[in-house]
Amino acid sequence: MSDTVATLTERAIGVFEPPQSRLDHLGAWFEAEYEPLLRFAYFLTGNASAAEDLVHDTFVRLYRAERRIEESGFRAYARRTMVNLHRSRFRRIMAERRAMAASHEPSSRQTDEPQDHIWQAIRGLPRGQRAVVALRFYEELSEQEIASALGVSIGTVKKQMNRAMSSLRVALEERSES
Amino acid sequence: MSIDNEIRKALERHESDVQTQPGAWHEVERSIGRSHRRRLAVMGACAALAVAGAAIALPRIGTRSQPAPIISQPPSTGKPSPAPSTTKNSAQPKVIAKIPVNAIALASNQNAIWAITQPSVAGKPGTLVKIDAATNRVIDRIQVGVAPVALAATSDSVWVSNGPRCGAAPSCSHGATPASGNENSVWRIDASNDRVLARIPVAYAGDIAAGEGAVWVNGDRLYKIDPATNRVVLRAGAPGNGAVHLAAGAGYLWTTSSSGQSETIVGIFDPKDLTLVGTVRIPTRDTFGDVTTGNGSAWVTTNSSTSASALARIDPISRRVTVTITLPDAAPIGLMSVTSGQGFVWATSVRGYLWRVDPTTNKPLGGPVLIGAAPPENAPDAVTGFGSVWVASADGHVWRLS
Repeated sequence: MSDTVATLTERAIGVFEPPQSRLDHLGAWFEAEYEPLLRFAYFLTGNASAAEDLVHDTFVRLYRAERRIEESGFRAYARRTMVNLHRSRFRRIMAERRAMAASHEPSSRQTDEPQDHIWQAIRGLPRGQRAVVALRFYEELSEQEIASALGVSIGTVKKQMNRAMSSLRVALEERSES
Repeated sequence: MSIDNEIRKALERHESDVQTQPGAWHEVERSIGRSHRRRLAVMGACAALAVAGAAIALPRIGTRSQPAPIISQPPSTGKPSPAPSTTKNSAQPKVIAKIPVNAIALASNQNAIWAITQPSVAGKPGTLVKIDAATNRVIDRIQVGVAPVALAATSDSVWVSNGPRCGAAPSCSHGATPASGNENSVWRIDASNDRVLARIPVAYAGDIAAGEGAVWVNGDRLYKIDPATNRVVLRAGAPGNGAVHLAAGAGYLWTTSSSGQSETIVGIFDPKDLTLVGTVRIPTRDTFGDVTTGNGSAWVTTNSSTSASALARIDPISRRVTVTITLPDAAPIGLMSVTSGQGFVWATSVRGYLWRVDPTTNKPLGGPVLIGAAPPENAPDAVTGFGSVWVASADGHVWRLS
């Protein structure tokens, strides 16, 4: 009798905890994808603290959507989730606040090296263009893969890429003139 | 080195700016646990509420004898009274599509949904955007004047009001610019082939409305344009400090204007000869009471700094406010626009909310729906058509809702 009560109590308490099998499944993805996602988040936000928060929140969101992820592939779904989270203005404001608080952190280094001109230009791109540039030149994805990762059309990807490249060319020309 | 390589090198140089954190997964696990428990708590609370609601409501079923109140419609408007609705769809509107158009005003006719966008560079033409309701895509962009401010649609045409480049204030130097050019004019565009059919000069063009057999423009005065000739056939002054918004329907032309005394003055004009036949004064916080017609009445937005914003319903026969419908979450931010169609009256707010009001009960149906990105962007206009309500949001999209 007491064993039955103990078992029932354990089960009742277990309801209040997320299923371990789902956590393990997500944990495996985390292990494989944490680092590349963190770098992508950094290129997206331009700030290390904001990138860590963004990856954290992305995985919390991914836990809820695990069944959907199975269908569309984890990498693309995770990046799309991350971009959507970042798109939220609230997220941006909070990240900016944290960035201001952590303005002395070494990761957001400001150097006078001439080659950082292009880095500053990348950081100055609108977030959509920055995402496309990071996926194209860091993750080496094709336009089709970028479109899938961001949940947009290939035409949108091309347009964003053209605009980003125009801005970056201007930045490079300004550097060579100076 | 090519620009592609420069970009790759820059990204590689900075990839080590951010380092993986040893306890990151543990933090994620803890957050997931908190999120999981929070959702369980919310679900439990909802279930408890549902049980309590059912316990209260079930004994009352079958005992109700009075139907919901219905405002009777004025018989002389020539319009049949709407049947008491017992099958109103009380489900919340759902987003069907988001069309990337940064619209400031919308209109609809049998051809399409129409939107105007202002130029991103001062002095360049604004755009009339044609949205295909079958595909939810932009199918044409027609250049209009340098400061399009409003539009109206008739069965075969779209009418765009182009204000002055420097704004609609009387201090604007109207004399310095040609009245018949891209400023201070109404453009008529053929809704089927998208060609400009006529440009009609008016002074300080502002809001525009179509209905009661004419097109109406709010400029330095009120203008009546005859669609048969594309000419201004009548002019008249509006009450108060000049009209801000217009609507034509329920047998009259309706204007809203300010008296400068924290009230909106609603002007009621006979559309035949443009004579003022009545005014209604509604206390309000500002001067931007929008107006529409529908279900045999005029509907005016009112904003209050001390209580919730509301819709005032005006009976065209008695020329009185018959009911004021409070939209609780609108205060004190304010309503931006009102429109009617698909059996409802719709209002949008500065905070991006869309309300749906049932004209048979004079009550909002459900809570407001948030349109646009968060935090809320304003929703400057809404229109109904093709079985949907379409809302312009300052987040740069036109939202289509079921």
